[in-house]
Amino acid sequence: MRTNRSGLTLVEMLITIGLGVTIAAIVGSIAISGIVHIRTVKRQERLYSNAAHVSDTLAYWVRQAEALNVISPTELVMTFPDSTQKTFLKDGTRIMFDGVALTEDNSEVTNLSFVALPVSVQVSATLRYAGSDEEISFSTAAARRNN
Amino acid sequence: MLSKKQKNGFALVEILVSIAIVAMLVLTLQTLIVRSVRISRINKEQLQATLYLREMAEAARDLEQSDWASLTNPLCNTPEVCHFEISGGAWVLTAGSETAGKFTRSFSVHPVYRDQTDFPNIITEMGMEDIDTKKVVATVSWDSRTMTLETFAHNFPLD
Repeated sequence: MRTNRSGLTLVEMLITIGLGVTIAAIVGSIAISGIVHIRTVKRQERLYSNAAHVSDTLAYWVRQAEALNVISPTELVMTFPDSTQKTFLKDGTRIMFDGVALTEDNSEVTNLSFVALPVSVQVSATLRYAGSDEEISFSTAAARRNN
Repeated sequence: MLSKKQKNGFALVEILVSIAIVAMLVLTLQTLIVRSVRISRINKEQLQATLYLREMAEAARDLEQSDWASLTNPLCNTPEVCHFEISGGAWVLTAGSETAGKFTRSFSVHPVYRDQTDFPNIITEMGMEDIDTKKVVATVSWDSRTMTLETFAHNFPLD
């Protein structure tokens, strides 16, 4: 009785440990790849919302402007009807608007390029999440309104 | 003996049940993650497509003020399609659609009708054509998706 019992317990234990390790390995590898994916998605979403914020802010202010002046491909000066000015520019890896950073530090701006047109400005930009392969490139334009 | 058999049987069932539960949890999690990755990709494409669309609408706004005559060019009247190119520091209408990466974009210019020439009037499906108003319909498509954006351009009299 006693030997039988202890033998069975050993086999049971071995099977349990074997199954447990196998399951833990499978679950662990799936969980790790899942965490990697979730972090990627999180970085991408930060990046995309930064890109949307930059393009929305640019379009909003360009519409109010009375004059647009592309000083260099990375610097745009807007003049408003009350003669005040606001500058949109690439400073290092950030986009600054009127002295305030529009992009978060993690969303690095690798390219910003303005093209001056009669009543509008075309902009293309690339944002890359710091230390990763995630990036987004976009191209858009904004025109002044009749005023 | 009997109780021992029962015990073993229970252990096996327990293991199988726990494996099934863990497998279900893992599969559910994995499905959610795969879906979130796909949604993130769709978000990116929609953002890019929206910005591409706005570029065309804003180019039309530019021409409305800087070069109205080019918007009335029959080259781009519906059902013909055009795209914008930058040439000599200005937007230029060019026949055909444009491909940028996975996106294909184009626009066409539609005539606008009003119920009467005097103010106040309203835009109608049929009626008198208002030659100083045009509807610009921009389209961008990629994979099997299509997005459109419409804007009205007016030839404001210069004063």
